[in-house]
Parts: sequence; C-alpha cells; structure tokens
Amino acid sequence: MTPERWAQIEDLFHRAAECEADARAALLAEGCGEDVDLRHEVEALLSSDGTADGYMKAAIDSQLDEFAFPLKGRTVDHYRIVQGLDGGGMGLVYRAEDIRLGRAVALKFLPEDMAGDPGALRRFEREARAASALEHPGICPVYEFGEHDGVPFIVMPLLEGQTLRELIASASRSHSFLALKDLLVWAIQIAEGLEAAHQLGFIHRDIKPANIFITKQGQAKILDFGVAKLASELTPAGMEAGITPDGTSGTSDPLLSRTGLAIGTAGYMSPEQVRGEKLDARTDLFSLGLVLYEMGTGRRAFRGDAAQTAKEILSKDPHPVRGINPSIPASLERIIGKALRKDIRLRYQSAAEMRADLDKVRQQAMPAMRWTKWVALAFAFTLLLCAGAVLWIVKQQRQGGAAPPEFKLRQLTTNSAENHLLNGTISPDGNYIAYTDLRGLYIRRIDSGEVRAISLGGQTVDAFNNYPSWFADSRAFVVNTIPEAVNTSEHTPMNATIWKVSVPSGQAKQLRGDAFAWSVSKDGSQIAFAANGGRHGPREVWLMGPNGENAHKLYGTDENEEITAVGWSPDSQRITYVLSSNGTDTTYSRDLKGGPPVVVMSPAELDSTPGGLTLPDNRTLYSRLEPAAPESTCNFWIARVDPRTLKPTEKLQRLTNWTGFCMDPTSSTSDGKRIAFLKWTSHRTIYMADLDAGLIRQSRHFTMDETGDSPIDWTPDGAFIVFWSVRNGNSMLLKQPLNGEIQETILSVPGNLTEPFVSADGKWVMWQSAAAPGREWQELMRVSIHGGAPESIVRLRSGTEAQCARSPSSICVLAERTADRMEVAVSLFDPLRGRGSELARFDLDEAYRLNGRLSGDGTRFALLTGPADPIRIISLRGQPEREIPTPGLDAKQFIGWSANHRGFYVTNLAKGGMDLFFVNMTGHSRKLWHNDGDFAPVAIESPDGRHLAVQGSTLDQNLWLMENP
Amino acid sequence: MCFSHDVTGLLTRWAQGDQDALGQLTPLVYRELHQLAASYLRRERGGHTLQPTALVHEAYLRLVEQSNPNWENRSHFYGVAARIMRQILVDHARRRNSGKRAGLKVPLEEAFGFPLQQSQILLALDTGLNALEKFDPRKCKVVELRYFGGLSMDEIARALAISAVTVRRDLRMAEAWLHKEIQST
Repeated sequence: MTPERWAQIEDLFHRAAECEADARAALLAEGCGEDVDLRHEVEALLSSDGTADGYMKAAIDSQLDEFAFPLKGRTVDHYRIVQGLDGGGMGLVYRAEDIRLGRAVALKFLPEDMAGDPGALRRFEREARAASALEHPGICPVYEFGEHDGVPFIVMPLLEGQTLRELIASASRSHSFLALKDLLVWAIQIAEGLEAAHQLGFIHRDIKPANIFITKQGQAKILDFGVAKLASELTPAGMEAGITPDGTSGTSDPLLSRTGLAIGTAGYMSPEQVRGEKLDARTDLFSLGLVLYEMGTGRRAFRGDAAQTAKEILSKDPHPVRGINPSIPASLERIIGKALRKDIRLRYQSAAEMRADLDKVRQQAMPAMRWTKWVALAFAFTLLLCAGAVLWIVKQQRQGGAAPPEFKLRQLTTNSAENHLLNGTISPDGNYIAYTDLRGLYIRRIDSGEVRAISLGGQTVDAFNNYPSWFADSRAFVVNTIPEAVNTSEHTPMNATIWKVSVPSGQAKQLRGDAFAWSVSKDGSQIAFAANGGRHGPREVWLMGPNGENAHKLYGTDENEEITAVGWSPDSQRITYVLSSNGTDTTYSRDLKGGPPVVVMSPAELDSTPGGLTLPDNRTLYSRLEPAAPESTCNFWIARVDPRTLKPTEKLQRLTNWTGFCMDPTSSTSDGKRIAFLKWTSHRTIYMADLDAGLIRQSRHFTMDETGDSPIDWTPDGAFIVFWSVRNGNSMLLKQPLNGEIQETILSVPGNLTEPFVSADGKWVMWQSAAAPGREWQELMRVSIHGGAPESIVRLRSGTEAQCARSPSSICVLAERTADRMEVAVSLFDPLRGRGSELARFDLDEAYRLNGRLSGDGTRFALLTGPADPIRIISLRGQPEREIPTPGLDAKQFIGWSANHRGFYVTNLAKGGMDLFFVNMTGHSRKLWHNDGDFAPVAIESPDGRHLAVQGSTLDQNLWLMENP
Repeated sequence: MCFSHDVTGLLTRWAQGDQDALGQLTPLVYRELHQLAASYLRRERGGHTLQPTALVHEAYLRLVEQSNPNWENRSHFYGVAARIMRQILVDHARRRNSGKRAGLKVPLEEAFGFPLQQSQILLALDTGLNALEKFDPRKCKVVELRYFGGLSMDEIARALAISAVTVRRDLRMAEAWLHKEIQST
C-alpha cells in the first residue's frame, strides 16, 4: 500500500462514513470513478466501521488473564480450574471445581521458588494435613494438600467476601474507620479462632489483615493455618525476606510477591519473631494486637523500611490509638496496648484471656437489646408442630417504627453445600451441639470447636423426622437411625432404631429397635417414643426410662390414625401430641397419671397456628418466609403465646431484617439465652450430563455460580447452552460453551422476563415481557444470541405461548386459549410477519395451565394436564390425538422432547425432591436423576443427543447460634 | 525501588533523542510488567477481567520517580509500556497457539467467548498492526496506546502531539481496517 493510496482511501472513508446512508452511494461513485478496487476497499472499511473495538479489547483482556493465570481451564488432580482469583503475595489463587465431590473450592499455589526442597515440602504437607483437622468457624479450613509440577498447593473452601486488608483500605480511602461494632465482633471471632488452634497446638505465625477473611455473612476467618511454617523452613534467608515492609495498605508489596512467602510479614511480626527466637502461641497475640491497631486506626503500627520496622517492633511504642481515632474506647486501647507489650511475660498469655477482655468491651459498647428480657424461666414445653410447619407464611403487615435490633450471631458449622447439615440442636447448658450432616452424626464443643464423630453401627441418622433430643444434664441425647438399606421413600418411623449418645464418652448405645424416639422429658427422666405403627405411621405412644428401662405403653390409637409429634410439659407430667386422622390434625394433652385427653387445638386452630420454637418465657420464635422477596428470604418474628395452646396472644413482632436466606430455629438453651437455628439457602444450578444409550453416564456441575440458573436451550450447533439467571434482581440471559467456563451475557434487564426460548435458527433468544396487572397483552421480545439491544417484535395476548422447533425445521407456533377458554388453538407463527394459519385445536380444561412443548421437528405438541393423567400428543398435521399412559408417574411437573423426537424428559414430584424420567412413546419410563430440593429438574437434550443439561439445585445449610447480647 | 532513578533518567535521555536509553529501558519495563501480570494482586476484582491499563499504570507508579511527576516522561513511559505489553501478550498467545500459524482466519461468530479463538484474534491483530505500521505508523501507535496502554483519547493526543480529533479519526479508520484484516487474513 502506498501512502498516497492509503490517504485516498482514508479520505473517502471518512467522507462516506460521515454522510447520510442514502448519499453514500453517490459519493462513492463520484469519488472512485472507474477505480473498482478503491470502491471495494472503502466499502469493506465502511462495513467494518464501528464493529471492532469490543472484541479486540476482549481478546487482549482474555490473553492477559490467561497470562496471569496460566492454569485456568486446566485440570490439576481432580480439580478443574475455572478462574484466576488472586495473585497475591502467597502465589496464585484459583477458583476450581472439585470434580469428585462436585464442590467449588479455591486452590492456592505456593510460589514456584519455594518448591525446591522435597524434605521441607513433606514436612509442610504433614503440617497442612494436621491443620486441616482444625474445624472452627473462625478458621478457614484446609481441605487438602497437593502438588502440581513440583509446586505445592492447598485446597480450601471458596469464600465470598473480602480480606480485612481490603476492608481497612477501603475505609481509609473514604477517610473513615471501620465501625466499632464490626471491629469488636471480628476481633472476638479471630481471637476465638486462635484460641481453638492454640489449644490444639497450632501457631499461625503470620497473622495480618491480608490473612483474615471476612465473609459476606460477616464472619471473620483466619486463612493459611499451617502454611506460614513452610516459609521458615524453606527459606534459610527467610528473615531477610520477611523483614520487608508490607506495602502501604492497598498496594501489593513487590518484594513479597516476588519472594513469595511472607514469613511473618515484617509489619506484623512479634519482637521474638524479629529476633528469630523460638515461637509460641503468644506471637500470634502480638500480631493480633497489630491487626487490631490497624483496624482501629486505619494505619499500621510500625512503618518504614524493613530495618526501621524491625527496630521499632523491638523498641518503640506505637502512636496511641485514641490519638488517631478518638472514638475507640479506652478499654479497647488498653487491650491493644497489652497485646503489644514487648515483654512476652506482660502480654496476653492466652487467646481466651484476650477474647474475654474484648467481649467485655463489646458488652459495654453495644447497647443492650430487647432480648435481654429473656431470663431463665422454667423451660416451657417446646413443641415442633408437624415437621415442615416451621415455615409459616402469613400476610401480616410489617411492623413500622424502630429498626430491628441486631443480634450476636455465630456460625457453628461450616459445611459446604455438598455435605450440608440435616439437623442440629444445642445442649441445654449451651456447651455442645449435636448435628447430622450427609455423612454422619457429630458432637461439637462450641467454645473449642472440637468435633467428635459418633459411630452408629453403620446406620444413618433419620434426618427427616427428628432432631437430636437432649437430656436436661447436657450429658446425652437421643437420636433415631434408619437402616442404610432402606430407601428413603419407603422409610417409615417404624423401622427406626433409638440410640442414646453419651457426650463424655462419645459412645452411642442402642436403646430400642423398631421404635422411634420423639423427645426426652424436661427433667430427663423419660423418653417418649413411638412403637407399633399402623397403616399410616406410628399409632402408639410409649415411655421408657433414660436407659431404655421400664418401657410401657401410654396410649394407642386405631389403625387409621397416626401420631405425628409428641412434646412434654415443663413439669414433665403431661405430654402433648398431634393426632392425624383422615387428614385432619388435632392436638391433645394427656396426664401421665391417667384421665381423659384434653383437646388443646382443634384442626382449624392448628391450621391457623404457625409452628415455631417456644422459649422459656412463653414466647415463640417464628421463621416467616417473605412472600414478595425474589430469593428465599425469611425473618424471625416473635410473640408471646398461650403456654397451653401455643397460640400467639399478641401481635407478632419482627426481630430481624435479613435477606437471601431462610432459617429453622431448632432449639434453645435451658435459660433461653442462646438459640440454635439452621440457616439455609437453596439455588438452582445447571448440571451437564453425558448420555450413553439414553442413560446418564456421568454428570458435572456446569454453571458454578450460585445464582439461580435455568437452562433454556442449546444453540443449534450444540456448542453453547443458553440459560437464564436472576442475579442481583436482574433477569439475565447468558450462554456458556459446552466445554468452556466463560459465561457471556446476552441480555440483562431489571425485573422479570418469562418463557424464554431460542429461535430455530439459533440466531435469537426470545421471551415475553412480564405480565402487568390490568394489561391483557405481553410483548414478545427478542435479542441476538450475540447480545445487543432487545427489540419488541409483536404483542401477544396474555397467556399465549410462543415456541419454536429446532433446526432444520423453522417452524414456530403460538398456542393460545380460544375465546370460550375451553380450547387451545395452535397457529403457525413467524416472529416478523406475525400469525399464520391454524394447525390444530384441542380441548384443555380451564383448570389446567398450558403445559406443553413443541417437538423439535415441529410436527407435534406434547401436553401435560393433570399430574397423573397420560401425556397427550397433539398432531399439527391433522393426525388424531393420542395418549401415552405413564403408570407410576402421578405427579408430573414438566415435559420436554428428546432430541430425536421419540421420547420425553418428564419431571415427577418425589419424596424429598423431584425425579427426572425418560419416557418413550409407549409410556415405558426410566428414572435418570433425582434432585433434592424444590426446583424441578428440567432437562434439555443437546441436538446431537449426547448431552443433557439438567436444572438441579443445591442446598446450603449450616447451624448458627443467635445470642442474647 | 532501586530502579526509579534509572527509569526516570532513561526516559529523559530517550526524550532527548538518545536511542540507547530506549534499549536500556525496555528490559526494565518488560520485567516489571511481566512480574506484575504474573503475580498481580487483584484487589476488589469482583469478577472483572484484568485490564492492561491497570498494569501499565501500576508499572509506571512503581518504576518512575513520583516526587517529580513529568508529563513528558509519563507519555513516553506509556508508549514504551504499551509496546511491551503488546509483546508480552502476543508472545503468550503465540505459545498458546503453537503449531498454528499467526493470522489464522477467525470467523467472528465463533470468536465470542472462546479463549482459544481470542488468542487467534490477538495474533491476527498483531499481524494487522505490523502491516499498518509499514504505511501508517502513527495509526499503529494510536491503536497500541489505546488498546495496550489504555490511554484516553486526550492522553494519546498529548503523547503524540496531535489533535484529539485526529486521534479519533485515526482510531476509527484503524479499527475498521484492522477488523477487515482480522476477518480476511
């Protein structure tokens, strides 16, 4: 290209680009004359105009990301590395998926230059493994240790939140300090974590703000336990490397990120660490003092270059805290001062001592809350009304006025979603919790975090019907187990076994087989249990002594009735039970000494009374679902209740203002000051299953975000899944390649969208705008599969469904109710030209919503009506309608066609979740998948029939403690 | 850092026409950017992609004496850094695509979201920039500063001593031409 030619092209390009489109042809004709090449060149440039910058920038950014995080997209051991998260001083951190366990984790690689010494690596591995035994809410656990190309890495849970360093830096940037309340709560949590670790003999050695993580839930977690020791072993010149000042907050330190490990990062070392002496747990308390100093003042206590920092640590007292931040209480300043004593003998001697002092400051600093009214009254009888009734939806007005008080919360278990809790209760003295997760039964000492697994002779705890029930002395509890072999759906309480677990010994003793314990009396002298089931379940109430002695029948009903819950009166003289007869429940109370039963609540009263946890002062704590919230959100409400009937005698008062999760209160201590509750969130997510001869060969998490993803369809080439998600209140359409991780946003709009589908040619995603009250139509919208601005195509009458077949068919149809509402008409439909001719018409009772799918070849419509009714096949080519009976599937929810149009994927409600079946054209069905939780496993097969995108759900459930502050 | 004076001095010397200074400057900046990219602390990243701009800016803060901010030095530094950033990324993409030839035809529809194709886009972009540099070096520089250095239009105008309008026109033309080249190489 000569400069003259280029100048000519450029001149014409700019002139043409700037003039109106209709004048362009004339301008080009005039400017180019006979020069056809020139014209082609300029036209090509004009067609490229304004299209380039987005993807070129994306290419550059993506290369940079790959460059910075070279393992992205690779598989290391059984971890699939998804994304780079951090490249801090300790080496690269990746987000990954544990392929074996299907859980999201973080992989933290040690810097490569630390990887030289195999002996030290083995010692590190031992240390990391030992540290992985640390289970405490204040400590981020190490799951595993691994090595890739000689570079060691640790596997940790994936946490959401920020490090303390980031939080302090962002407070400093806005010229403010951390809130005192946060400071104290986190300081106590860190001290608790250190306390638990020190008791087991672990010293951290590198406590600093960058090693404290604050989760989104506000829980402080100490990172890298068991890691810092590696540094001192691997770097003989470690002290020199370590005595490099960490950068000012907010800037990574260059030398640290190069040498990799911070061996007690200089600014946070204790004097004995600077001197290179032998360390004990008290070094961590000095470092914690420095962390508190920085939390309070926003700046480091000792600054300057390495040598100066070291000198100051040994000899200088930092600038007084209250001189920088006068709002810090003097008592807190004294704690920091004591933690920072150079003389180790004058310092705090244990984390427990420091925590106790911090706790006193917190009690003074944070005003007393309403809950202090909860005094130790006699323990009113606690009755969990029928299982599941804990969530109670009422349409009661929110309380106006003062903001709800804040409560001290503490997370007691930190299980991942893959091993979530099933239940858990706190001991009456508040020292222990007994809980069950998917793997087993455990006792945990709350203050030390020490956990003990309880062996139950190979049986599993019956998770669904009961909670561990404690004896009054907190030395034992009872649980029920079910035989491993029994299918959950066939399980009745009557094949359960009752066990008594002793806390001091950790031993479980079998008390009785073919029986089911309900609860231990308040005085601990008797256990109420069920024996001899009828057709529906337990029909006899029995009592026995604390060791299974003196078993005797108290009361029995007939074959057709069932006893669903039993509780005790505070004086242990009466029992209260719920009797279920022909589907109606009545609560009775009965004196142990005899006499007729008294009706406590009639069926109607029981129906209108929410279930909750009744506290010793005769108030009941309820967890209420917020009906209007986009994601499951519950709040605690409380009301005084009639101790006999448990009916509220006053208006419910709202206690919390939480969003994004739900709770089930399970138990309280005998003084009512601490309440244990299960906190749970449930998310939709997408699994990718590989199909082999119509069976699922293996499956994996596909979208890892816990954002509520639902698959919509595949692109016609099978390369991408298009899915739908609700994130931060926005409805989003996204796509992700089958073999990739990167999600591309196609559309993000506030509010709702409905019925999204992909056009047959795969070029568009279409959906209907949200229905609006008083409006009889909805807009059919579309957006390019590559993203861009959404456009409105046509208005459809509300209730009309639009669907498209799959390529090579190009058919789209509208299905809508006829004017008399008794039939549905299916018409051809072109998104641009509008409605075409009617193809079929079928009757559909108005009671049923239109729940059908167009076959991929556009010839038939499959329809579900009643949940137990056969599948109806409506021909769009004039053939008679046919029915496919589906024996055994009597709770069908969703139907979709297989890719070859010769069968269906059908979701059927099952006990404890939903099942996914493949049903062929003769009605023969095969179960493919079970999903716990409340989302239908919608399944969409890839065009080539090799993969199945399944909507699943995850449940994240842990036990928390709410304390009376 | 111990380099600061060197870098500042080298930038000054280079600005005065000392080509040797550029030769000494390049490895320093390369090392810094390489380090930064390889162990970049992603503060409050929140799912955003790492931006070259952030790296170049951070390298500048690290390498150049801050007590005496000098616009000329800054613009020269950005010029060098953008070129080096391009080199680092192209080298990386080339390694990634080893066995494949640079400048492969990339259908744009497929390019969305595939890291592999993105490395091919980058290589095609690099090839295009090399071609462009031969007959219009200024436009090549504008693109480099904009894409690999992350400079604003006004900063580019000042760095190259041309008007902002010219920068805009250059960029528009160069982008259209590069897009055409990437599509049809």
